[in-house]
Amino acid sequence: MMEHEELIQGYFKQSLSEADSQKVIRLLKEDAEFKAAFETYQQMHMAFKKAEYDNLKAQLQAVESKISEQTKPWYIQPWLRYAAASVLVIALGVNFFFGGSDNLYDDYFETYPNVYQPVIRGAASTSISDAFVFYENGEFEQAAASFEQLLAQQDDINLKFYRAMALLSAGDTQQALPLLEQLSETAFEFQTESKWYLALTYLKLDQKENAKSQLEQMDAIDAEFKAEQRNSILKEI
Amino acid sequence: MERNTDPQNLESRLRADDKSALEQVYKLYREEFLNYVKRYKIDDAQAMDIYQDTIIAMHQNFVTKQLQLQQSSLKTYLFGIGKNKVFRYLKLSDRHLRWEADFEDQELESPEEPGLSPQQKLLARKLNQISERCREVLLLFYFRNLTISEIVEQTHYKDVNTVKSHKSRCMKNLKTLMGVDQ
Repeated sequence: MMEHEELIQGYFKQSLSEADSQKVIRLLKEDAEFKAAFETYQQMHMAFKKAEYDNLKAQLQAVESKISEQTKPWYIQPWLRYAAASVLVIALGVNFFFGGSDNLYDDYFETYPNVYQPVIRGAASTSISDAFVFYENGEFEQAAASFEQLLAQQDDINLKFYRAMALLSAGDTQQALPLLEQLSETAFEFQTESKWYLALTYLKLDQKENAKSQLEQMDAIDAEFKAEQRNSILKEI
Repeated sequence: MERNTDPQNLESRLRADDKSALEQVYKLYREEFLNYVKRYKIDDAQAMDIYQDTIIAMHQNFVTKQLQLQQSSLKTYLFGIGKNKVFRYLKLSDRHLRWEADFEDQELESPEEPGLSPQQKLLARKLNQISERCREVLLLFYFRNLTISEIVEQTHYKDVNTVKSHKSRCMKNLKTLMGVDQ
């Protein structure tokens, strides 16, 4: 009986091995007593989840109403607007003196964060999460190689995007370029990001017209993404 | 007293169901998250709602699964869940159908907002009405998935048998309470 209890708890904790998960599925079919215990547990678990959700939601809404009383967004506070404007002017000035397309690339390039797949301990290690572990650890060459292997098995546009990101971060512009050119023409989650990184890559290769056209196209997809940065770059090239 | 914002510490407090840690995380990433959601042209109230649900989903994953983040930071994990919720919202509101294919198979650790049966909803309400002591032991067992011996370790119960008998008494009370409203 104790063993059954552990199985059920493990199931809800998502900590069971493959064999034990199979056992749960089998017991649910074959053992009426197990099934009843499982269902009671499930009822209680779900009800608590909902009860806790309601309590936490109320708690966060209370926190929120305190915050909104205290703060106005920064862009409403006048002195910050001027501060932001002057930072922009200074940044443009610096670029004017030290300009050149490659510098623009260096100024604006940053490694895109892994928002695709959080790396979680305890989850069975798949090669997808291996690739993202490399990526998050800054081992971009290995990450790029891992993504390439994965792509050989399955064609996944999001993984392709991260392969391009890994290549760029590893400094491999030549391999990243054709990938980004393909990605930026595809409607998918990271299309805007792809165009942005493609534009930066063109700048690095001193293909200003191409860069300009990518930056301008971004407006149509997502007017807000990197809007300030895009405007500053467009003014310069 | 100095508040500890060390990420490791925050994570272990989240695992221990510490609600003040939850508030801390909420405040820490609020601005950034709301800015991030802006690019999907979701209105402010809705964005706020999504952020709160994201925080709660994260908390519940820590609490029910004793989640240990490895290389990924708390922030990355949070934004991962958030992104998933944003896309589910957009999908529901039928605006970004083109995303669908890409996200159908994406498995993030975000619990489904379960469609609860009326019975479960009633049970949920009752769980907020039972005695503090009963709620605690049932929550530790059924929601946080702690074993009876883990409960002994983490609470003032003196041994396994006390927990067991208290738990079954509480279940009995709860069933009676449920019976009244049916």
